[in-house]
Amino acid sequence: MSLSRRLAAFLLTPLGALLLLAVIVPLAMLFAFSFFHINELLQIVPGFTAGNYRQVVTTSVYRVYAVNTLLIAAPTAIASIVGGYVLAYYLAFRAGRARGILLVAIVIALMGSYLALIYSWRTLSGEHGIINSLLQAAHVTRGPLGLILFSRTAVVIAETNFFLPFTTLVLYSSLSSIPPSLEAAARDLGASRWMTLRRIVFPLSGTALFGATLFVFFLSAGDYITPVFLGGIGSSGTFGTLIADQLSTTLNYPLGASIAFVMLALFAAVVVLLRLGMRAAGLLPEHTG
Amino acid sequence: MGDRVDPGYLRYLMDRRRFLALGGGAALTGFLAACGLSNSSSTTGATSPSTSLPPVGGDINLYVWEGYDVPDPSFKKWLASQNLVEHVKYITQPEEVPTVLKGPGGDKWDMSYGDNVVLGYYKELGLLVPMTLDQVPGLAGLMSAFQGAPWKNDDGTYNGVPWTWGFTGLTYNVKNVPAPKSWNDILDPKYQGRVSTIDGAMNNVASASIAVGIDPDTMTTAQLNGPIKDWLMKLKGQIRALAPSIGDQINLLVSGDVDYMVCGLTFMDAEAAAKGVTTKTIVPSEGAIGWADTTFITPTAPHPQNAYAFANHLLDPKANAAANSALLQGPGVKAAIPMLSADAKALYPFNDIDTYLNDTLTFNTGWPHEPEGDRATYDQVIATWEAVKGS
Repeated sequence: MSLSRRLAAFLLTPLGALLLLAVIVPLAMLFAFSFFHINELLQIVPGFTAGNYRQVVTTSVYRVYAVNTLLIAAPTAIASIVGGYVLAYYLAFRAGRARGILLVAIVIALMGSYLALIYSWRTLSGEHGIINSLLQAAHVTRGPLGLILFSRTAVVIAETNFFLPFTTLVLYSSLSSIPPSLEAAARDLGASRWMTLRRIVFPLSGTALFGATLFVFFLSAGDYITPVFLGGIGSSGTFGTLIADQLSTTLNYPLGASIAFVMLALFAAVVVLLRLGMRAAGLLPEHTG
Repeated sequence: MGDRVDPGYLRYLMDRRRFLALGGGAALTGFLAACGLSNSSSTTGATSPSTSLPPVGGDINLYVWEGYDVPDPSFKKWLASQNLVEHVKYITQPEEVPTVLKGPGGDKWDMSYGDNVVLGYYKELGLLVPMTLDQVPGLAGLMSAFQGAPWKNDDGTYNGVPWTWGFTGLTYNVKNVPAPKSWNDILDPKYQGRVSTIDGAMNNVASASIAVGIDPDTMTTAQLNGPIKDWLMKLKGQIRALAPSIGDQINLLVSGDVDYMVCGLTFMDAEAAAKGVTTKTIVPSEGAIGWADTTFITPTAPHPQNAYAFANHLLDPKANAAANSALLQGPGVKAAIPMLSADAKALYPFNDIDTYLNDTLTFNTGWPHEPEGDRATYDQVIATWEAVKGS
């Protein structure tokens, strides 16, 4: 069956219809809106103008927002993946009887309200919060650490906290399917622990690694809540907050839509770059994705 | 809505309105229009309801801020005495107002709300029908500050009933820092990292405009990009964090993370006090932005006679005093002042309230959406705030 026939068959299924109605159609509408403009009554006027895209690309402040987004999303993705991989590896190969308890703990961590987690972090890391109080009581610091609240670092720490359970579960799902005998065989054949990881474990979990990295990167880049609550004034502006402002405050849907599609294009570039990079590193098989 | 009013929630809702753009909600109307959902009738040229109205009684449909339907217990008695039955929907976001009133089913609402920033724009959108003194005699008792635009039109009609008001000023932690006298006091380097404000273009730009001595309503593009942006950049250097909401502004003050709050409200003082922290909100020497919440009658009001009666009751001095005492806000009616509670009286210098409203507070009316000479536009205001944040 050809690709187009398979696609047509898929779209005829209920899932395809849902995808069409809930994703494709709204996305197409948003794309169309990105070429419209608003009049003096803030009404959307259909038409075709590249002005919104031109504004996004040429306005210097939007580049600052883009850099902020990258400086938050990239470290968050890296920290979540590294932390998640260590946890997932431990769960898959070393946890033994503790595995069940640890998995339950990770799932429980997912259940917390997003906003409650943000406020918890603020309570912990505030000027008179537990962390600063302990550090000062232990004479580790003389005054409150400004870095851990209302800063880009605070946003990265909090988002890593949110995403770590997700990446752990995704990576655990992949790692747990690797037979332990493969690792044992590699070690028997003289491979060091690092070489076993590098040549056996990483490539076999490469697809999950790829997916989890993108998952965290996209969610972090699109997040418009954490940067607002935990970021300082210089770091709270991201693409996510910019889109939220356009859609909810200024209600400039055409401009908001064009920012969203510029962000989508940047995401596509990230996908391609990550895929090429992981393939070059031998972490992703050639046929993947 | 019960008898007990939560002033905190009310202030939060009202403040949300002021932070949003002039007529910002109209964009959503535009969105609906683009989707073919909007009422296709003209947005201008609203017609007055019939002058031969049935007697008061029956239903009254209010699409209003929570607490403004029954501001204090005496309103319930009045409603009962008039045989009125309220049907209420609460506004949760200001941008909803144009969307709901012009969307499907929007013609069932008798009354809704806007403030000085959006009222003129709502009129342009055809969301309200002007009222006359014959229809609402209580309008004659409004304070002089509200006897002009955007509340009163040149033809003597009124766009709504500005029965309650307040200001957006500077809040400070009484224990930690000295009382500021000027907006510029918070720019002192020793307060770096001790200041916050809400993340909203409209109020910050308007406050900055007042801080540098420029009337926000006549602000030019050059003034916006010059002294006003410069002042905001200095403010940015002092700011530790932006607060996304009023609740967050209070949290920042209460947690001790900041000591000064731009875009402060007297309501914050009460909330902070409840949490054991003493703050005070003041009007700096340069002045502050004022706001007046205004209830208006829709052109499609199914029960205009009841809406007029309700509007008139809000302006009854005794009812106005009771409502504003409960809300801890300023009364729109001068004759209500002697009847205010002690707490409400302590909020403002009522012995010379006209001077205070006319000279100390600035009831700005927003910025044009299309270029008007050298006046700064709404888009430029938004862009300036974004540039300040992103610089």
